[in-house]
Amino acid sequence: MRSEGAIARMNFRHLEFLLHETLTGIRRNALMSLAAISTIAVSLFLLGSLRLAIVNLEEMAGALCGRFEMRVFLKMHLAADKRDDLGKQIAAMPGVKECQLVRKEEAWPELCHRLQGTVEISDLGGVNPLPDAFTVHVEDLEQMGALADRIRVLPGVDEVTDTRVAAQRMAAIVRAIRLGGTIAVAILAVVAMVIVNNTIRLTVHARRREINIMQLVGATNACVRTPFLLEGAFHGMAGALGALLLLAVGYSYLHEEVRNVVPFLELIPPSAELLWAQGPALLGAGVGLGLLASLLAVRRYLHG
Amino acid sequence: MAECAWGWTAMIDFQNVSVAYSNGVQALSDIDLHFEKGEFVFLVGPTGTGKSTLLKLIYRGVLPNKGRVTVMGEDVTTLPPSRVPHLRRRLGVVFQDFQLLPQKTVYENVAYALHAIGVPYREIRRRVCTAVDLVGLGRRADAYPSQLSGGEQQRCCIARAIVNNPPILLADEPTGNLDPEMSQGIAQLLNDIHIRGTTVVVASHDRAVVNALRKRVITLERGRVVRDEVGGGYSPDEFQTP
Repeated sequence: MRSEGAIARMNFRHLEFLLHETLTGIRRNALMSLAAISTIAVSLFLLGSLRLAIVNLEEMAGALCGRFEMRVFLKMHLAADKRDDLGKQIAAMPGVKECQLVRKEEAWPELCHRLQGTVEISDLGGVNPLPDAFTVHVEDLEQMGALADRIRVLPGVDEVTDTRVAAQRMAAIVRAIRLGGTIAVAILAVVAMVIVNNTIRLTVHARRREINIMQLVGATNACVRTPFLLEGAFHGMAGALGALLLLAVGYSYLHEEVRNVVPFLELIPPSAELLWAQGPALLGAGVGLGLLASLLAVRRYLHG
Repeated sequence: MAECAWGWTAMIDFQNVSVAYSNGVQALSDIDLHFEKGEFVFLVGPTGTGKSTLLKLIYRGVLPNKGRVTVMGEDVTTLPPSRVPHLRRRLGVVFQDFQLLPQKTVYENVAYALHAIGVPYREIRRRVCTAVDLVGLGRRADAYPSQLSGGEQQRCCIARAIVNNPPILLADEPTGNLDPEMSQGIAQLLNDIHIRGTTVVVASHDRAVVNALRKRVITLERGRVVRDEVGGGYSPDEFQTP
């Protein structure tokens, strides 16, 4: 029983020895370690991108679904009395809670304000390109589609933006991206695991003499394996940190570009919190992947 | 376990042991042997006769297909894998090819064994210095294996094997790679270790070494014991040494 206690103490006391062995392994296979770390970084970067894309799309879909309203754009230059009649007609429809007129004179400065700095408004020569519109609030989201169809055929109506359909489309896009992304990430994760597995195998091979000696002098299996597991975990952690860095730089750049090119697409602004939220998932995935890959490599080569 | 194990008279006990390798080679057949505490035993015979396999059975490098191997009162054949390290901490093993780590010095090579089993640093220093002095490498402790002669490398390997003060020392062809003069030095060193109370088992086909020490000699031939003689020698006409 005394020896069991000695082993338990050993693990703690000899962390330094085990860490030293781990570093020796990484140093000896520096190039393969780099390959393993880069592959993990790329896979985790993809995982992080996928998560950010889904967060963004869900935010957009949520914003759309949350609004129980649709926009009814009227034909250009529709007479004011006809416009008011139309408003009353819509307001009287069953399922309509409220019908609010949005005058083009009001809508234009608001849009100008929103687009400020991104689109050169003076290009339009001071002409207001917007038609009058109604904002129609509905009582039930389920009725929105049918109601939109009925309003769309009324005389004087040019276009109805039915956010329910848009929300459904958005949900479909989120589903597709989630599925496609998950498959891509899974494939890359397998590739990363194969590479980490190979790196650890090379380390095990390069250090077979040390392993042999350790086993012969009575080092426990845990003691023999720990440096290799630590090495795998290190690959995973370094890869995850690399992926986080890539994400931080990449997302800031993307956000800036999207704001310039497609201003109406509102991405969540890049912030430390947004990236921190990805941290635990990426680090967990990286370390887990590294550990699993090295565990498989070590199990196969250090049997008994 | 170690304390009570000293109460056993048979340090190492083989009962009806047979070993066949997966490639069909019958390495050992029906071996019945008893090595007493503090004995010095030579296993002799031509190459491929089962000497190394017999040593491997003691440190659980191989498992027998049949029979029982008991080391210090512990049945090695039924030992769970998690207990194997504990067995090996009470054995020292010396190889023909030394098995030293080329990028570590003599001191570091010997200390490595103790680091690997979790001995405290201060204790390591004391034990390594004692072991290195005992094998006569005190002045060469900072040399790398490549800077040592074959005899010195083997001394380093022996220092590593005895640094843990094991009750049993196993040596597999310890003089196989050495010239006769160095071989005698190693034989003398093994005898010195034996005199300090260690049970020593040496597999060898070095006639000069076996004949110089006049210990118990067990001759193996095609996996069977054909001679077991205390104070025996190894006559030139006994085998054709490859």
